[in-house]
Amino acid sequence: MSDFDEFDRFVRSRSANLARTAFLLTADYQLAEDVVQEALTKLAERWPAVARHGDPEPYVRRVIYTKAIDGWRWRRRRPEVLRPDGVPWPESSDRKDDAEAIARRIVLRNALARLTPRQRAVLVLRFYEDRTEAQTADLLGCSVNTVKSQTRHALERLRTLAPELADTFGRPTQEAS
Amino acid sequence: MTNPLHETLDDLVTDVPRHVVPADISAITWRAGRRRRIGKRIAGSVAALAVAALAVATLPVLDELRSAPPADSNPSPGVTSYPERIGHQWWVRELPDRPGPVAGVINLYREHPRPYVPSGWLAVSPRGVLWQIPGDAHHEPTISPNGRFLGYLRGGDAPYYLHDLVTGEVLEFEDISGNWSENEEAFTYLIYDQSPSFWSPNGSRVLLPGSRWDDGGNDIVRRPLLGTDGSLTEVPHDYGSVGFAAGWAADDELAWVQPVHLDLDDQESAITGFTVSITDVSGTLLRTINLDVNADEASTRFNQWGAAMSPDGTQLLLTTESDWSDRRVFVYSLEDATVIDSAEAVDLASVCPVGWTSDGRPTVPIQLWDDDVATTAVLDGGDVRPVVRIEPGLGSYCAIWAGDALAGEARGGIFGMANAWPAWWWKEITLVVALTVGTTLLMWRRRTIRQVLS
Repeated sequence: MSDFDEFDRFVRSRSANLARTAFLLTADYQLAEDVVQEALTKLAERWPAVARHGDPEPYVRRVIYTKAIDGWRWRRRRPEVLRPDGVPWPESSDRKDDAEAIARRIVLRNALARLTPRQRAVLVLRFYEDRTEAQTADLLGCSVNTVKSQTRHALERLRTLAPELADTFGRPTQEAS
Repeated sequence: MTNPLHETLDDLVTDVPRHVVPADISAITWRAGRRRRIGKRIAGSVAALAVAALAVATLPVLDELRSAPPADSNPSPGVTSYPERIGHQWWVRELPDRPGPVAGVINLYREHPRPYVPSGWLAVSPRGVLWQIPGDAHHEPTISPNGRFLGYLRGGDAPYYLHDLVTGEVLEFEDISGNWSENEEAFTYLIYDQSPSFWSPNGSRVLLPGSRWDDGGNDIVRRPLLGTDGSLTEVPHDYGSVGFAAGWAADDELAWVQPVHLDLDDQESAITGFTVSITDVSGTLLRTINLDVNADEASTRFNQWGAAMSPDGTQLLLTTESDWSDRRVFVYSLEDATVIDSAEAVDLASVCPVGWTSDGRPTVPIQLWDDDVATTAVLDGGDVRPVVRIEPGLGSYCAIWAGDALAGEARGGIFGMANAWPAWWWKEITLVVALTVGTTLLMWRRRTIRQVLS
C-alpha cells in the first residue's frame, strides 16, 4: 500500500470526527473547514515520519488544537470544487427536531462562539473528548491549574451567556486522574 | 461516565455539513502537503547553497583576520609558507598587533608607475590575507627572514618601528626620521626612501638605508643598524670605496658591491665586472673579491636594488640593465668568483629589491607594465620561473618576501598560478551564482504554488 493510500484510508475514517472537533473548537463552520484542511495538509507533508511512529491521529488533533487556540483566521483560497454551491448551513437541518431543540443548539453555538479559543478548547477536550485535566494540560501545553481555571471561567461564562442551558453546564463528573 | 455537556455538544455537532470535509479532501491535502515538502526541500537547499557560498567566500579571510595567539613554547616562531597568488580583498584593515609571522610585504601605487607614485604598503599573510601597514608610503618596510619582525617608518617623521608580529611588542627608534625638511636637531638619522634594508642571517639585526644628519658632504656616512633587542648602532659606509650595500656575508660581516665600468671615468660605459668588499660591522675591510662580466653580457647600469647576498654568505645575486629591454641576472659564487647561474630578465622590476629564499634560491621581481602583472620569480638553471602572482589591477609591482616563507609551502588553492580573471573573482562569481539560483528557485516555487491555488 502506498503512502497516499494509507493517508487516504486514515482521512476517510477520521475526518468526520476531526471536523466535529474543529467545529466545536472554532464555533464556525468555515473556520473549522480551514483548520481541518490545514491539519491534514500538515499531516500529508510529514506523513512518512508521522506514520512511522504509529497512529497519526494524536498528531492531527494536536495541530487542530493549536490552530484553534492561536485564533488562526487565515483562509486559503480553495479550489472551486470545494465551494459548497447551494449547500445550506446547519441552521436548515434535515433533522426533524422541534423548535425548542433547534433553538437550544443555536443558543449553545452562539455562546460557544463568544468564549475565548482556549476556553473552548478546554471545554471540548474535557467534556466532548472526555480527557482528564492532566491530558488536557499536556495537549494544550499549559499547567493543570490553568486547565482548572479555564474550565471554571468557561462554564461561568456559558451560564451567563446561555442561562436557559444552565442545567447543562454543571460540574463535570470526571475529575483529574 | 458521561455528562450533560457532552451530550449537548455531541448533539450540536451532529449536523456538521459535508463541505467541512469534502469527499476529495485526502487528495487535495495530499497534494498540498507534497508541495510544501518539495518547497521546503528547495528552500533548504537554496539556503544551504547560499550559506556554503558565503562560507567558502569569507571563512578563509575571517580565519586570517583573527589575531594570532601569543608566542607559545616555541621561542622563535617563524613563517613556513607563502601565498602563490595575492588578490583583492573585500576590505583591508590595519595591521593588527599580533597577526603572527607574515610572508612578505607588497607596495601599492595609485597611478601608472611611469612615473611611479607609491600610495602604501601591505603586509601579506602566509595565506594571502592583506593588512595595511601604517606609516609612510615612500619608505620601504623591511621583513626579517623568519617573517616575525616588520620594520617601517611610522610617518614621514620618527619614530621607526620594529614590530614583533608574534608578541605584539613594538620597538620605537625615535632618532630615525624620513623627512629632509624636519628640524635636523630633532633626529639623528635620516632614512632614504625607495631603498632596501638588509637583515643579518640570524635575523637579529637589520641595516637600514640612511645616514646621520651631519654626514652630509662626507665621504663616509654612518648607517643605522637596529637590533631586535632594541639596540641602535652605526655602520660606516664609504660609498665611494665599496659601493652599494649587498647584504650580509655572515652575522658579523657585511657585503658591499661596486660596479667596475669599462671607462672608469664614465659611469655610463659598459660594466665589465664587480668588486665585492667584505667588512665587519665597524667598517674594517676584511677581504675583496673581484667578479668578471663577459663582454657579451655587459650592461651599463647597476642600482641599489640589484644586489643581494645568499643566506649562507657564499653567493651574490646581481642584476644589471642597459635600458628597459636589456636586463640581466647573475648569480656569482664568492668562493671562486665564477658565475653559477644567469638569465635574461626583460621584465625585471628595477625599483624593487632582489632576494633569496632561505633554502638558497635567488628571487627577482618581475613586472609586465602593459598588462599590469607583477610576479616574484625564482632563478633556476637559466630560467626565471614565477612563484607568486599578484592580481592585475591590484596596483602593486613590488613584493618583498621573508626568506623562510618562500622556502616553505606554497599555498595556491585550486587556482594555483592561474591568471584568468575568474580565478581572481571566484568569490564574487560564486556569490552571484548562488544568489541567482536561489532567487530563481524561490520565484519558480512561488509561481508554481500560485498556479496550483488559482
